[in-house]
Amino acid sequence: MMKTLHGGLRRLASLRLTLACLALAALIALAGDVGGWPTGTLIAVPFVILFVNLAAAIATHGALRTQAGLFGFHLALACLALLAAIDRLSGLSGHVEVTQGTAFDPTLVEARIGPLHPGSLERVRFVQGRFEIDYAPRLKRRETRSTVYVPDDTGNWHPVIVGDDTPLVVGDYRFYTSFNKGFAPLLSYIAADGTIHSGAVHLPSYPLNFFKQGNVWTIPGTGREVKLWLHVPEPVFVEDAPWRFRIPDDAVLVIMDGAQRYELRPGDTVPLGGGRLRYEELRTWMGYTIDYSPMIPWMLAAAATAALSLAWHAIGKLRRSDWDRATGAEERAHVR
Amino acid sequence: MRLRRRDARLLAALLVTATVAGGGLAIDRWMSERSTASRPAATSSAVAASPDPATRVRIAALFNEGLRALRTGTPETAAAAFKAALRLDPHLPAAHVNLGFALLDLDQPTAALQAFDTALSLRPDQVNAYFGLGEAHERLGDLPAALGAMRTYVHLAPEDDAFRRKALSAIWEWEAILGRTAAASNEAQKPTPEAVPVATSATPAPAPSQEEPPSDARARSETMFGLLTRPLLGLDGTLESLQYLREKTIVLNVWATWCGPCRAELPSLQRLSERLDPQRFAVIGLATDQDPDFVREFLSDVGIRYPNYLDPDRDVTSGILGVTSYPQTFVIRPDGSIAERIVGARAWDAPDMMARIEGLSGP
Repeated sequence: MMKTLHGGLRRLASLRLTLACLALAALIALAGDVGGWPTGTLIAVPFVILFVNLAAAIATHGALRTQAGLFGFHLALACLALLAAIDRLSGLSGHVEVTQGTAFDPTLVEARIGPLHPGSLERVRFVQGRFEIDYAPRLKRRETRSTVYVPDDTGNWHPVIVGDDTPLVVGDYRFYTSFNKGFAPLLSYIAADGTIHSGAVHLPSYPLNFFKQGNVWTIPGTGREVKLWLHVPEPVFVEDAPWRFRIPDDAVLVIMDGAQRYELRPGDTVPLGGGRLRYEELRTWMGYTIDYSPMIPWMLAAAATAALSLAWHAIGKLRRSDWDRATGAEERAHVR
Repeated sequence: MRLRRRDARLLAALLVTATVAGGGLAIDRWMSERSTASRPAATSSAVAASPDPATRVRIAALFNEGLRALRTGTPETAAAAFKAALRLDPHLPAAHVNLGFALLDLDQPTAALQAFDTALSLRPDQVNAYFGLGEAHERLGDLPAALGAMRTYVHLAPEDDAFRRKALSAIWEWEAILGRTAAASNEAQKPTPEAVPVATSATPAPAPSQEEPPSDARARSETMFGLLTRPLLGLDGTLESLQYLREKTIVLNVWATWCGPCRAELPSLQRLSERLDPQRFAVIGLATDQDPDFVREFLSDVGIRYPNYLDPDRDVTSGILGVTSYPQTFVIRPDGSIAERIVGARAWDAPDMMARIEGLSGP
């Protein structure tokens, strides 16, 4: 029985299986990133097999019994494989747009979520403030400084500056600003029954889509669609000079309701769909990428430990005297 | 005397565990301190179950349903499933491509062409879209465009791609057909008027430019009559044919709002339209965008006043004119023949360009 178990473990500890796992992981990564295949959390599979393979190697290979450096290297690699699998199975990667002056809404998040994801974006709370983005000539985006307001333990809100490399960390979720941002006209619609609906319509990302600052909006309670277009008489940016993202002062919101066309400035009201539409003001929206990779620090530590263990093993080999080598050879002969 | 080494596994295991756990904790703390850490009490407490991304699940189900339908030979179901998936998320290149293949099966090559084009605009390296594009162009009778698309497919597809052989066969076949057509065209250059039905104008035809091979110009001239008589979608939503311009030389600019070079050349086209003799010339824009209202507002923003039309299904631009890249500008003589086809953006109001266009209209 024990012999059969040992034989099975020896087979699981095969170096070929190690190489096959690494190749499979590389293949899945390439298929997902380059080929665009929906690999999802499939990459966890080779990492789990790799963990089993390394654990079997640790259990069965006699050479690891006396070579602490090599043993540590294998153990750290096994940890790394397991951590990588857990990270992919519990991770989250997504994006969201938040309107200036409004709270983060988790229902608007589009995300790829691992099946073992333990968190909940429902608990994330912050309010989007103003943001600044510097551009170099030729529309090259430089630093983004997005102010968000986060509640502390006492219920007070305090400002936090978020950027492309400076995340807002909330409950292990990391929010980074992205290239995606734009204008958002704030509208209030007073329906025929007196109900007031307020909301913002996000126009396509600016300046990426400066030529298409339009969107479709459904009149609340009617299902009827009207089109919106933001007319910006004076360009916000100059292509060959540095500039900073700003809300245009002279923008005009165009509402197209069939053949009817209205031009609105902040505060203007028009009759629409049996009610009245008021254009409150022009705001901005900011796009964030959301990342939840809880095992990254431990994976980094495991990788460093593996490297140190291997170095320890290599140094031990180099420093071993002739007498040690002879003893080692004798010991290996004995092990066999 | 035999010396046995100490079993160091326990020590190593302890060391490794301590290093990974302690190191990870230290790195985690360091990362948190370095970043804009904000951990409100509400978020650091016990966490709830992750929300179910219902829309994603629905899209995946529709996508798989579409694939199954495609494989089982029911393209109507497949097209409906892919369209439903795209309504939920219009930014899925794979869904656009598969919708294109379903539409090809439904014998709707024009709509399929648009689906493949959309997929490529979303993801230029969506390899199978080029295969579909080639098939769609072939169905529409535009073999040069089909050939171009299929060559791109072969260029980008992996060596062991299942459809590579089929693509190569198609390329050989189309090259052979085009070779025969070219040979026939060379024969046709002999003075046989009935072989060139549209070249009946008394006006001596100017030499075709280098950008439009003579055989292509003649081959397309007949279809230009189709273009002039075909109703085009105006920016006010009404249909109108270009018949009212039959006495004029038309400078027809094919463009799209999303195309940077197209946008760049629009002001010079506006100036060209103002400087050319309106009795003899007309500058016309044909946009491939989907929404006439947005195109109208865009043109208003950039100060374009010459007439513009829309070809959202690309029936005219791809089907009749064979346009596969933007911008392209056609100078069409009053007899309906193409005097010149110019690929890419130009400074249209430059003196040499104006002289060239005026020279193309004949006396």
